[in-house]
Amino acid sequence: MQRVAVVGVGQTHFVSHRKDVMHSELCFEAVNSCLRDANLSIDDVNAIVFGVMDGFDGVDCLDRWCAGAAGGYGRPFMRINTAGATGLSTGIAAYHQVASGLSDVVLAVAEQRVSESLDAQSILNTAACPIYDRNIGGTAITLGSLPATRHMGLYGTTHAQRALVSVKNHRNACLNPFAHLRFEVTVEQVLQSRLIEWPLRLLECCPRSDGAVAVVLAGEHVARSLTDRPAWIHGAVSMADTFFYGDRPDVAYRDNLAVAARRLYRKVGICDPRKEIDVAELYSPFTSLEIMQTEALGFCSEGQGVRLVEEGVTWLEGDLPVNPSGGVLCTNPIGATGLVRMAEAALQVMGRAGEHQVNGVKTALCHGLGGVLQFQTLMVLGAEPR
Amino acid sequence: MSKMEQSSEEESIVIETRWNIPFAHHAGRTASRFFRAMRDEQKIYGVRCGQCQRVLVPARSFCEQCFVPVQDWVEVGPQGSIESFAINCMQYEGLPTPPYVIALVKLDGADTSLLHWIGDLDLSNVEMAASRIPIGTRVEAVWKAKRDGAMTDIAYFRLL
Repeated sequence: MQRVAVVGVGQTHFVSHRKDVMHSELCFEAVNSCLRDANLSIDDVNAIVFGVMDGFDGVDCLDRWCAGAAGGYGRPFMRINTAGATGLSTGIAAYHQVASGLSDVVLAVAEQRVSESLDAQSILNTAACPIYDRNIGGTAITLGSLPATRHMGLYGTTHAQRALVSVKNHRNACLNPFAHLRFEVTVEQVLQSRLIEWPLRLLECCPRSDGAVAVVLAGEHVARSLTDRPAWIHGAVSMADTFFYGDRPDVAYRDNLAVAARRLYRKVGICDPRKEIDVAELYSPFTSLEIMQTEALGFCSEGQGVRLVEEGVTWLEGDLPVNPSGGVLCTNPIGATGLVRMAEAALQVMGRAGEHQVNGVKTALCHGLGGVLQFQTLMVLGAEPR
Repeated sequence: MSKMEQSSEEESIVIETRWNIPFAHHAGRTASRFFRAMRDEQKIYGVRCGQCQRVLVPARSFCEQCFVPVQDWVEVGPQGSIESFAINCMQYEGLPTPPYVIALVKLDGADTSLLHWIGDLDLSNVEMAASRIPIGTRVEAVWKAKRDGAMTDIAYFRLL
């Protein structure tokens, strides 16, 4: 085992539709930006791990189309897919390769081009079990709406409280040049936006984004030779839960995320996450999920997630900013989204997040979520090696 | 400017493609027995895991948590309670006409919930409809007259 650090990141600007490039060219753009950021050339890279989710692009085996564009020509190359969690699973796979000592420099690359499918929900329909679930008509939004209703019923959470999460994240996205939706919203605008799937309204739901992201990871020796301020990876966990939505007690993905978080905190020595974590980038495509995730991650007790946003704790100026980049609510290139969380967490630790930089970040948490709350991935990065 | 240099305003050519591929999914022994019971007897079955004792619905041949085969069939429902719900207001290709209520229904005797519809509900005012079906609301399966061995043999769940 060797210590591993993130030494460079590259993101494309995320938009509804990148008409000026074809699919593979998005990868090429992100990888080049990442290598420039790390002051490396592709010849310094030992292996590439590539992540993308199936279907949206209408092309099977996207690993074929993108291997060369990701730098894979003549190099070890593998593809990862865990639905929405793909991006961070890709980062974790790259971390494991370097940590093992078998590679010193590994590129994690993830991308998605949700715009190429003219009907993204039809793709997502095919992710449901064709035997038992598919013709009932759960949608991508259902993974946020069912927990939202449950949270309202159990804890009295209101539409207006959830709307505050949207206000916060849209405000943050205005400070992030790579974010897709960059406009501010008010609680009233959120509450008056179109009803998509009760209780969730349009401004409580993520957009569909095109874009790519690359993160380069290096072993300790190489990392120290490249930069005096890398983002050290302290540890990561990933976990699969049941395929059956209805199997989870309490509908709550809170259960599986809470389990994953406990495993991670034990692994990296975090006793009080609220105090010891300085910033978190979470896979929160709906307002409801951010609230429940902050509870599952132990930032507050069960049912108290709305108080964190009401009291300003999770805002950019708060004690524990959540999604300072604007998060998934403002940018969602699905298979890439988890790796964007890792890139943003690394930028925060390296002090290079720009206008949405949180002051004095020593420890950052990032999270990926996929498969209707089935896959949970978490990673902690720090300014000092552990 | 030569012909090969591009301006940012230049037309981007669009290639249109379509996936239209038929599939036939074999449900296997366990799911087929579950569907036959719905189709022929209007009964809903789960299976009890011999290790964790949970009754799993819909029926399946193994327990993911205990990682053991399960084969102890138990009749559940047809009544149950709403664990959570949502009201979809958008039309998607291949999905039901909105608005419709999708819910997790925990059938009596089951430890897991079934994803299905709540029907017979006035949805002209969605907010008001939502207030009528708080978590815990009791419901009962309504069977389709003509059943063909699918989850949709239950037409919907009605409020009790």
